[in-house]
Amino acid sequence: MKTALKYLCILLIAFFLGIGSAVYWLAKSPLDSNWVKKGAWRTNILAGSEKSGMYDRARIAIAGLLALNKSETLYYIADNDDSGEPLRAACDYRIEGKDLDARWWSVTVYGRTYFLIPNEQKRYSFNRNNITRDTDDHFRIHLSSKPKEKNWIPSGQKDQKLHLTLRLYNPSLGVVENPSGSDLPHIIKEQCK
Amino acid sequence: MKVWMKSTVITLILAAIFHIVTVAIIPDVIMAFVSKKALHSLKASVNTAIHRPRITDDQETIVMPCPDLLYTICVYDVSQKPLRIKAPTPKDTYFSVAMYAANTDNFFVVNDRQLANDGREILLINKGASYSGSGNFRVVEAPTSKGIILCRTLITDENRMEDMIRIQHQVTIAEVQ
Repeated sequence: MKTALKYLCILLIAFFLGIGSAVYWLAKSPLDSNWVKKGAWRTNILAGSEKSGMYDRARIAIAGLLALNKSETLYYIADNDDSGEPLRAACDYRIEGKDLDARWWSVTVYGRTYFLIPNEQKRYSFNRNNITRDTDDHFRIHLSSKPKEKNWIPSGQKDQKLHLTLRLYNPSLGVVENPSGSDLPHIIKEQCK
Repeated sequence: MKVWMKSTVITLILAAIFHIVTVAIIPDVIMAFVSKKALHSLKASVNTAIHRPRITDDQETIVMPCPDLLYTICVYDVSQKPLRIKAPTPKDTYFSVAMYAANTDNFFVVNDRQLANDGREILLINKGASYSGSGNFRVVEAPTSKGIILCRTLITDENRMEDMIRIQHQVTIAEVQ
């Protein structure tokens, strides 16, 4: 009886240790060799690929299920602003850049659980076709809980962590071969509540 | 070896096994869950195309959907019969057919430009299966008998939603008898 209890304890400790360490490792910032970083953005060059390792495949399944491979689409993700601070709905941000070297691109904002943020306007993103550009072809997206004049994505009234995804559909060969060489948009914090 | 040391080693070995198994099965578990959820919530059956309306915050099935696309989803099972997919080749928007294995791998993708060059029809067969029928289509072998097909139609102009939906609905997926 005593021995059975001992082995049951070992099994339970191992179970929670194994699963806990797996969850911790997957949640940890994934900056291994398959991730390329540029400014606040990072991309996994093996997303969707059959060459993905066990950890990358699990991370993509959790936070980017049904991703396309990089020759079709590159997905850049940002959880922080340019200064390295986590993106929060309680703060206002400017996302500034110029057109990206791809057939089509978009910037989308997600809430803490990687789902779209509810808002009356049903506005969650801007893309190559619907963004309003400045006179010098640069664009500026406003991410804020309060309305802005143009290119406004509502961040909602609930304070939570935010995630940005920059999608490049049919990126140019140069971008595919060197994902960190692209001139990606800057994410600039303006003010917080 | 002391008893406590033996217990510690056994615990660590078991923990490592639990760790590896957890990480390894997460993609398959999530895909199975998403497939089941999609079929249940959309009241659909396997091997049929489900044309989804534009994604908004109140009708999401998977994480990180792109709100600028119209999705057509099909939960496939080619263990018994192959599937024939007919895709549109729109001139003024992006369109793609992507196929995912049960472990989430994107094992095949083709976009509108490639479809226009190489033909609009795709035959999806089970791994190791063969198909002797004739026709002008490319044959794709699925690494797992079950998985998901996802078609993406880009909304290039929000004032032309009817046109975009018309393109989306040109996708047909059917079992080959």
